[in-house]
Amino acid sequence: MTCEEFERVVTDLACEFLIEAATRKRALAHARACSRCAARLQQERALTAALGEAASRERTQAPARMKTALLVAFQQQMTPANLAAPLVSRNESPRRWSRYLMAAAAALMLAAILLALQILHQQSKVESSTNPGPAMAAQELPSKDAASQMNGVTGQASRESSVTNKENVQPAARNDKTTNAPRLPRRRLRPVFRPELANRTSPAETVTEFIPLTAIADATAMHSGTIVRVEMPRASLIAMGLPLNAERARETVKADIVVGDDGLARAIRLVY
Amino acid sequence: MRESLATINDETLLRLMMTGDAEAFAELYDRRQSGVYRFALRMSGSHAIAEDVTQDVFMALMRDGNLYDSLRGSVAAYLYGIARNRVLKRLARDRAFVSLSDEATDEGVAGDARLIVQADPLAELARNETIEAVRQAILALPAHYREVVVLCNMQEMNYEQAAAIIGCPVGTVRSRLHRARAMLINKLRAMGEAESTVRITAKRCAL
Repeated sequence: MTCEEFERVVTDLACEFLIEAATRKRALAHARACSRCAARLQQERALTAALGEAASRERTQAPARMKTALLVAFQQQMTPANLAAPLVSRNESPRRWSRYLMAAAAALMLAAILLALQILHQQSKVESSTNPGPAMAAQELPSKDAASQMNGVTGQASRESSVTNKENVQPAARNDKTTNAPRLPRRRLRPVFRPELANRTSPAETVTEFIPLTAIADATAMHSGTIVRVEMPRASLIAMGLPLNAERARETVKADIVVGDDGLARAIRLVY
Repeated sequence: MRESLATINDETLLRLMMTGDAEAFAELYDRRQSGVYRFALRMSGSHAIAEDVTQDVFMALMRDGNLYDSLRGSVAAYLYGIARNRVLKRLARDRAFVSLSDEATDEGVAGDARLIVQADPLAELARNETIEAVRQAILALPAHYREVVVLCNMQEMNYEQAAAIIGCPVGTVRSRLHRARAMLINKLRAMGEAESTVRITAKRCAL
């Protein structure tokens, strides 16, 4: 072993860290033969002893009053309401305010989307009455509980792991033998809200079940509608009453929103 | 209840704690507070900062304990990681400590002639003086060197454990420790020489 090689292992030797037995043996042999490296090892061992001595003299620990204060804080913090949403920060006001702002921004964004949808829907009605074109990237929903239909559809779609904006929900509804609800005649709907999104789908993507947005609209009043692919801030999930991982609040998430004829969002599913 | 809690691991205690079990929190606190407190104290040299950091660590654990991921390390490493971040932020804010120059930290130590001395630098200092000198020398290290000395040589962690807390490769910890110790030796040798000079001068004055 050379002096340079010895220098590379001298710390491990002096600190009694695990090193290969053969390396250790060669290093110690080198130290016996080289007075310079022997002195170096002696220095390092003295330092290790001094650090250990300094550490052993510090028997200090946090004062007892801290434990008392923390236990009080624990009791206050771990209330049933807080336990229901433990990932959400509760004490840091700047973070709380920023979350509120993000939620408000998301709500505004959603409202804008819905307004735009309604306007487009009105325009498409006029166009379709004059020029009923070929198949469009729109979907028709039968007259039944929209949310439950959507759940059935997405259940199948999830199993197939292939969902597109052009998916037709009608076949899935036909397969549902349990429903006796009368089916409305099929009709073409307006062009898709964001046609460019129709090409964005990937066979590898997976989706969640549709979650009814009952706070926004009554899902049972829906006769037909459209699924619209949107990309929105994760923070907006809070506004819809969905759980949010606070660490990823700044990221965006893709979602399919079921929009009724009246332009109101009825259900949402997340796309991954 | 206390006896049964004493036998279960940190991860289970954390899980119990996050369900609102105050005794689990107390057990976890008793088990880990001293290590966290000493780490903060050794990094900062200040009992006030050590207290603040320790309190912050356990408050953060209450608030964000569900973010703990066992795949990324032990609960102790998680706590030390929080403590480290808090201490570094505090030090950056206070800027109360003197660092060695960057020039010195970038120098290679293998061929540093200053390290090759026959005399033991620590031998020049009396026992109590040695302890105080070591503390001062550690506090004079830049934070990224100081933390590896504290973790590996004072908190008795191995390279892997220190690397998990710091969030860097094991090789980085190893090389930082090597350099940090070389800097400590230089520092202590300088202190020892200064002490010798003071003693000799005092002797001459007495004669």
